[in-house]
Amino acid sequence: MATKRLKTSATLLCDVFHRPAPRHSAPMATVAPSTTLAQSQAYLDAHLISTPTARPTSARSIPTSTLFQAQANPFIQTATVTTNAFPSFEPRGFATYPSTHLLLPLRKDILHRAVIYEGDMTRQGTASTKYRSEVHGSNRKIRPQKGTGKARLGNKKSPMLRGGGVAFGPHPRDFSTGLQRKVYDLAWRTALSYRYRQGELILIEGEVELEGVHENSAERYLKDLLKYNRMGHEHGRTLFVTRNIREGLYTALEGEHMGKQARAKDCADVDVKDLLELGRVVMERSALEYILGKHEEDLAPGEKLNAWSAVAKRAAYEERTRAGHNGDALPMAA
Amino acid sequence: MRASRAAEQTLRSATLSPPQQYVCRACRAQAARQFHTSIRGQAGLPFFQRLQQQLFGSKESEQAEKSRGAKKLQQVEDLKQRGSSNQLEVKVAKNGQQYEVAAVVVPNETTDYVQALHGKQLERIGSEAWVKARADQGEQYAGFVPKYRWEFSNKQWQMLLHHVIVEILTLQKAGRVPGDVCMGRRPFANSWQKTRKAQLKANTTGTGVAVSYPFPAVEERVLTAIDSSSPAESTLLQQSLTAKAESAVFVAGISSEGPAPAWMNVSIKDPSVKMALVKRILQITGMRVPDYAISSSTIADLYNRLRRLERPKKIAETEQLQRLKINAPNVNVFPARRSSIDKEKDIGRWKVIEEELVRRNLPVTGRRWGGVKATSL
Repeated sequence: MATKRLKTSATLLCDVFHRPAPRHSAPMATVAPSTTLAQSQAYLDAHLISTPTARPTSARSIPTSTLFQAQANPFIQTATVTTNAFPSFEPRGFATYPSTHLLLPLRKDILHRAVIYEGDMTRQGTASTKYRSEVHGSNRKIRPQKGTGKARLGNKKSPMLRGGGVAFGPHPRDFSTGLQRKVYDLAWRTALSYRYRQGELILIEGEVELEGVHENSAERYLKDLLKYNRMGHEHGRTLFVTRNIREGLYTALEGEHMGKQARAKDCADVDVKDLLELGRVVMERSALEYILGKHEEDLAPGEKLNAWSAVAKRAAYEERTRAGHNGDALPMAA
Repeated sequence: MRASRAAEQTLRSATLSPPQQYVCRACRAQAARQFHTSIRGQAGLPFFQRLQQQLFGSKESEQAEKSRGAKKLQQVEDLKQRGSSNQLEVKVAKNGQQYEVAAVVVPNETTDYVQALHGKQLERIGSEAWVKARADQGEQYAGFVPKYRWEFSNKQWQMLLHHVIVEILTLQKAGRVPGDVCMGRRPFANSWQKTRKAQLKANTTGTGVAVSYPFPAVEERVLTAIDSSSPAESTLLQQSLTAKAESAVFVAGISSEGPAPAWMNVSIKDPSVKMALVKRILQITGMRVPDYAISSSTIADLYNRLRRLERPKKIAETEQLQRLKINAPNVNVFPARRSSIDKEKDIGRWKVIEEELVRRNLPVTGRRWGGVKATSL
């Protein structure tokens, strides 16, 4: 069981490592944007472009002064993600996220560490054998020390003997290892960034749920959905990540052989390995923001998602009031 | 049945060892009375009469067959009177469960009924898949993405982007929402041919790009072709739409292949324009524009991300090796493995060697074989 898990981790990592780089890669997060644009390249129409909703701050968070305003980091760019409707996958709008969350460079070493850490953490560790002291039997010396012409032996529980104990066999233990919280959080965002660059991160506005579908037809309906959108077994399978448990979707995926088509996981259950494993990730927007908000320990307070979204909204408002909105013609690129 | 059960019991008691050794005379007599080897109904008949009845039938059996046939015909008549063949007679069994009586089909009268030649042609019922299929409520999935996916060349991408952006600009000029570009088209509108004639130019104020048509009527036709009253194009029309796209795109393009032409310097920062562009491309090609390409600021950027880079046919033509020529001028790259013959050719000694080998009747190239005096080069 343990060996199988490591093998699949290794093949997965090989797939990530030896995958040919995309022909056109997204720009590096470290390139400074043009000074004529606002720091987030926020757009004018609020109903199409949206920034992440601010999470309520916890009681344990550091209180900020009312006079303090987070300054814009000029090196942060914006990653634009299309939000779609479910189940039609019709594009509905755009969502923007900072480059610190979805435009990170590929760090294979960090992904490797995270996958191994998760593999170790989820090991059952229940393999057990008996030492010679635990084997049932007496401690009587089975033959005399000298005179038999054979090797000297103590009790019959010796590992050399059939039916004896195992010398250094496995015992139930905890295989979990440690990984720095900040490194693990970086791995989460690196995995999401990788998927974003590959074009394999599909965001859904709303809930990923089979509404209006009877439970008897859910499995066949979901198969049709995956086949129609080229997301099924032939196209590398799909992982659905939801904010909460969606009964209809989860029940449909419990059917026979449905695991070969797609998988669904709650955002509390999903791992870095799950994000990298299947062909694509279809994620609810609320689930993505939950994951990004939960894994940003390595970022400064001004770079976190809440702070960025507040700054981005302010910059978008300033851009709108400064530039105005001309509906007659499209502006020429500088 | 009762007789057979009694006979079985008798045989069992006769063959198996009894739990007690003693069997009373009355029990033995009863066992002998209940033991029969012949059918009760025919027991009284002589052997030959019994044989005759089996071979030629009896009056009773003929009457029973007649009554069964009459019953069947009666059922067929009832079905005809009922009118619909789908309505089956519902009966209630003794235990209160309702069941449908199977339909009676008379092959001579039913012309559309074809008898199966063997069991493989018949429907198999009772399997798990059959049960699931019967329980299925039949909801059909309808998606936005078309079922097929077109692969376009760079030239075709240019044409497609030109067509879509011209339609969007035309709609904006008319004061309509750019999202209307995803709506249905009137039949025989041929807007693909009409948008090819449009030109994109910087407007007089110098702040943006505007579309201009050779004739105002053409612009009007492009606008009227986009039918705002009809809903977004359904899947039924997709086939005709993409056929038009294919035919329009395969016709001679508006620009040659290569980097983005000048008209592509149209900014697509406006999210409504960008959304309309992305949706329309998805509707036509079935291709989802990658998210990193959506962050492009102009159509030229978008095109550069979407187009297929022409791969060099030889490794020597690749960018990496071209750079090597500049960075390391002392390094030479050859298309094939260099042998000693190539080295001799560079020096200019090979001609002489070859002549001498031929003179001595020795192999010029190839492996050595036994019986030949080989001389090392």
